[in-house]
Amino acid sequence: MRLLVRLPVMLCLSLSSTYIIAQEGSIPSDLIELTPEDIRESLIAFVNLSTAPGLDGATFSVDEPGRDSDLVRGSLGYASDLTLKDYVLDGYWGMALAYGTLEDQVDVLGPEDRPIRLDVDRDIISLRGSAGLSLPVTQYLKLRPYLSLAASHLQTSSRIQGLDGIVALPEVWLDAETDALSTSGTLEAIYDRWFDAGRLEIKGQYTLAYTDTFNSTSDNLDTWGWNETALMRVRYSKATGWYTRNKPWRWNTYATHTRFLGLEQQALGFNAFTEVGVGLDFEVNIRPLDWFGLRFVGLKVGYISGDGVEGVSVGLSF
Amino acid sequence: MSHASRCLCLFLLTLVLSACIATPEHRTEGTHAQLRSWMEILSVNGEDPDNGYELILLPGIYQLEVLHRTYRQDYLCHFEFEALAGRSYEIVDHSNPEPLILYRWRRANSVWAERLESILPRCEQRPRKL
Repeated sequence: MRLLVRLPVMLCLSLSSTYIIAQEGSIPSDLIELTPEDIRESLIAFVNLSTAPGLDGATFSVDEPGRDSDLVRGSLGYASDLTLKDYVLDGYWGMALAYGTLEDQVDVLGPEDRPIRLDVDRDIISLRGSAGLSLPVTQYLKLRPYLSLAASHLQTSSRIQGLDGIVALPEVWLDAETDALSTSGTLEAIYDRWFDAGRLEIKGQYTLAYTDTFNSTSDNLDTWGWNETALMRVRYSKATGWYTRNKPWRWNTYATHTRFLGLEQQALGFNAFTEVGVGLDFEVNIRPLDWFGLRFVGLKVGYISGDGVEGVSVGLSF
Repeated sequence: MSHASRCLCLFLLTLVLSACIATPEHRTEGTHAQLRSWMEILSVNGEDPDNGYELILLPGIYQLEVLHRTYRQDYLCHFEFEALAGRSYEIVDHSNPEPLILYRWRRANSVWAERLESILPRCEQRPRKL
């Protein structure tokens, strides 16, 4: 990623003396001061947002002065406890295929205080495996520490150009492919209690992730970083009274607050968001391949709001 | 190759690999019922079972005591159910008003099995058994 940071800077420096055709108008006041460190952090944060365990599929939209970006995250995964006979502790495992895409347009203050528009498109696909332990403390409370390993492939396309009407520069395109490996440790605390037909679930989750990126063509594309993600979710569900093939439907409502601890807001345009939504679960209660249980299949719709970000979350849940 | 194609390829590969795996058998003879439990069965109609996790039962009504362990407390759960010949049953620790639940287990097709006709037990807390 360092190459991505340095190249625009170097290119703009070299182009500024020879290709500037016109400089007119005043420099907007809403330019973002994006340092190379911010851009490096942005890459690592994007990998974390796309691959971190516990995050649901969602679209995020950042529309603020000097920045317009859209981010989509989706995943298809399964996770479950694995009963260990004769032990209080259970095992825990999970796998997920995650996908993310980012279209980020940022007006930045470039070298020699020249305003530059930076368009960055990123795509990531990631395969994640998790394994750990599940400790039922009481009937209602469970602690679940686990480790995850995610292998990802990123494609990044960047376009650098002068801001319309202020600086005229030829467009510069930069494409790069990068592999990333993320190792994370997660601790979950889950409170799960029934009140007759109603079920209350409260989950707190903390994940510490280390991400390393690799590129075979240039050492400068190698970077690394740490991410901390904290999540709190409250969910209440209740029987609807509807049945299909003698299996019940349940409605639910939930609220989730996610915070990326220590992440500078410039990196993605936000570092915390809250999601509220509703859903409908069908208690299908099957065992595919007689290997693992699949109890609920659900559909949910949520609204996301945060400091500088909003979005929606629509998806299937298992 | 586009990302969508890659996702599809991975999904298909998973399906192919799954199809190559022999799944565990859970079947019963026509004159008996089978019950498997993921938690230890302490007693069947007041007697210690030979195998605390898998029972072959004659048709009839049974009282089971099953132990569910947690770090702070143990729970002794009392089930009463009627075992029918040729049927399979399963006790699991699904989240419910009680810590355990008994399902009838039925193979729906070659890909999955269903859990049906749930029976909740009556559970009581016990001091933690070390």
